[in-house]
This record gives sequence, C-alpha cells and structure tokens, in this order.
Amino acid sequence: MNQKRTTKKSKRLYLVIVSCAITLIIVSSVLLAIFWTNNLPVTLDPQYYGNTEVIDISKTDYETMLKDKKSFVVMVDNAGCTTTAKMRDMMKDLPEKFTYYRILWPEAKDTDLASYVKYFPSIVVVEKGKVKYYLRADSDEDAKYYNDSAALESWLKSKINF
Amino acid sequence: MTSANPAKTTKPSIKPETKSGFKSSDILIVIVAIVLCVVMIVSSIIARSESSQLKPLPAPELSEGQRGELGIDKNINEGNIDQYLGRSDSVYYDMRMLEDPAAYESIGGDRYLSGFVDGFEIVPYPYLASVKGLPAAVGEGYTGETLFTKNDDGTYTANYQESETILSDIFPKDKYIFLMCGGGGYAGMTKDLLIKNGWDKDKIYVVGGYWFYNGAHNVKVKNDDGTYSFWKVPYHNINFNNLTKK
Repeated sequence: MNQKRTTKKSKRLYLVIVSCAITLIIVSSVLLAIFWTNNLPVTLDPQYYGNTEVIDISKTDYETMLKDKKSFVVMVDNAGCTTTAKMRDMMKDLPEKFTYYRILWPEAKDTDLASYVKYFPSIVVVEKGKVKYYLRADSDEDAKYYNDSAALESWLKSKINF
Repeated sequence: MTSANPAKTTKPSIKPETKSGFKSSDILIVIVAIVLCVVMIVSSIIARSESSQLKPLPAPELSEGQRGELGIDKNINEGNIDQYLGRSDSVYYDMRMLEDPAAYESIGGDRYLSGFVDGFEIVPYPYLASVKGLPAAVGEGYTGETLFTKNDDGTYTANYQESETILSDIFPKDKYIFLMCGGGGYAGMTKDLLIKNGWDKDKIYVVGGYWFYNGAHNVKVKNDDGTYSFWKVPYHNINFNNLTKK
C-alpha cells in the first residue's frame, strides 16, 4: 500500500514538473516571438526606395500619413540651429538610397512625435502609421549615432529593410 | 438734607479711567497697535533675510547623449529654468543673433529671433567668436568682426584690446552664468569660450534651447501675422568701430 502511494505521489510530482516546464517553454517562446517581431526591421512603403531625396513636410502632412498607415522615415530637425547640421549632412551622405521626410521642430512638437522625441535632431522610423524606432538626443546609448556616419548607417540598417 | 451725593448721582463710567486720564481701552488699543507694528517689522525682516538667502544651485552636470556633448546641463535646463530665474547672484544670456545673416529660410527656418525667456538678455555669440560648420544650404553665417577668433587647436585669440574687458563686463566671474540659445549650440560654444579664457566651469550652466522651452516666461517676438516686435528684446550690441584692433 505504502509503495503504491509513493509511486502515485512521485507520478503526480513528475506531472507537475513536466507541466510547469511546458508552460515555461510556451510562455518564454511567446515572449521571445513578441520581442523578435517587435524588433524586426521595418519595410518602408515601395515609393521610398531607390532615390535619395529629402521632402519637407508639415504637421498636417505627417498626420495624414499616419492616418494612411504609411511606413516611412522622418527626420525631426530645426533649420535655424547649428546642432542639427551634422545629422543633416550625415543623412544626405548615406550610401543607401531612400527618400525620407523632414519635419521642423515647431511643427513636430504639436504631433504625436513629441511623446517620443523630446529634443531635435532625431530620426524616426514609422511602421504602418506608428512610431517604431527613434533616436534620442538625450541618451548616451544613442550618442554615437549623432557623431559617426558609419554608426548611423548601421543603426538605420538594423531598423529598416534595405 | 436733600443734597444728593455727587458720587452717587454721576453715572458710573463703563470704561474706567486711569490716574493719568487715559481710558484702559485706549491703552489696550495702543498696546495692540504696538504689538502689530512689531510683528509686521519682525516678519518683514525675516522675509527679507529669507529671500536674500538664495537656494544653493546644483553643481553643473552634463546631460546624457548629444545634449551633453553640447554642454547642456542635466539638472538645470529648459524644463525647470523658471525655478532659477531672477537670482541676484546670476546673469542670464541668450546667445542668438537678432537677425542671423545665414539664410535659414532656405531650409525652412527663420533667421530672426522669434522669442526668448523673460529674464534672459541677448548677446549674440557670433559677435564674441567665429562660428564654423554651418550647413552648406544656409550659406555663410555672420562673417563680420568678432571679439575673439577660434583657432584650429580650440584656443581663442583676442582680436581687440578691449576683448577680455568686454567679456568680463558681460559675464562677471563672481556670478553664476546661465546660457541659452535656440537649440543649445551657441550656448555651448559660449561656455567653451569662457572656460578657455579662465572662467570657472562650475559657475556656468548651459540650460539648452529656447525651442524646447514650455515654461511661463516665454516672450514672443514673432507675431501671429509674421511681423516681429523687436523692441521687446533686451539686446547687447557690440560696436566694433569703437574698439582698438590688436
């Protein structure tokens, strides 16, 4: 009798351990999948590939593109400022040919961009009408992308499908 | 004997008089008045002494990232500069030009000073030292006379005999110096110029850019109809014609 009970107990324990392990595996794979999908590079809408062009847009233009669920790149800039000059030049000299938009800070700060980008300049990657990646001028981690064109290029390559 | 006792016939006074003839209520009023005066004087003295004891400033500390590279402070910046305005131990300068010769409108910008934070006075950095590295599209910036020339090795050479005196007059060494501009660039350059000329780096705060300011002391110079009210701007001009070339 005692032996039977012990076997039953160990079977239960085994079942509990196995089910816990399975749950753990399932949960972590789901989390990994979510993380993986969230960090995938964005494929821009086809019209943005092939040409290097900078198009100035207004607040209204930007908001319309969000409504239209477009996938694009926008640089948050401020023309009358020396601090953005370097970023502007680095973007122009990128070997990857793609068209991106430029929105000036006075316009950008009245859009949803302001909840992500606190200081110009910044490069923002929008996927299907939602901001997905952006550079922070007040982050040590992002500082290299503001100073080195090769670093900026590799950041863009990791965030955009070229 | 019908004569009435005057002490009995006179109506007794409600307010008893003292020997000196003052009523006790009068004395009470005088005492209350004196106490009130003393309280007012003491409290005003306390209030004055409290206001003269300025809150100590946090030591300058650089922000993270590119803003830190521009010299923008982590603790005192556009977000909280309102708390530090109007200090008697400090001077406040915005380093932009009233009208920048660089054609910023060619890239969608504005060459005119569109506003500033109340309490800041305008001293254009391009008059203090030479500026390099403007974007090609805006063409040349200010190329006129400057008090100092920035050399390739990062040092500064005074161009006029009065250059150091003017710098010391504008930026007193015994005061805290709060610097601002449009985005932080000119302010950071000014800090560099001052430090290289012997100012204490721990007394200089680059508080960032007017473009990021959302506080309660915004003075708009650009009007809604596109005109500018430049008379609002406390502007420091440097007349190079009156200076002696070195």
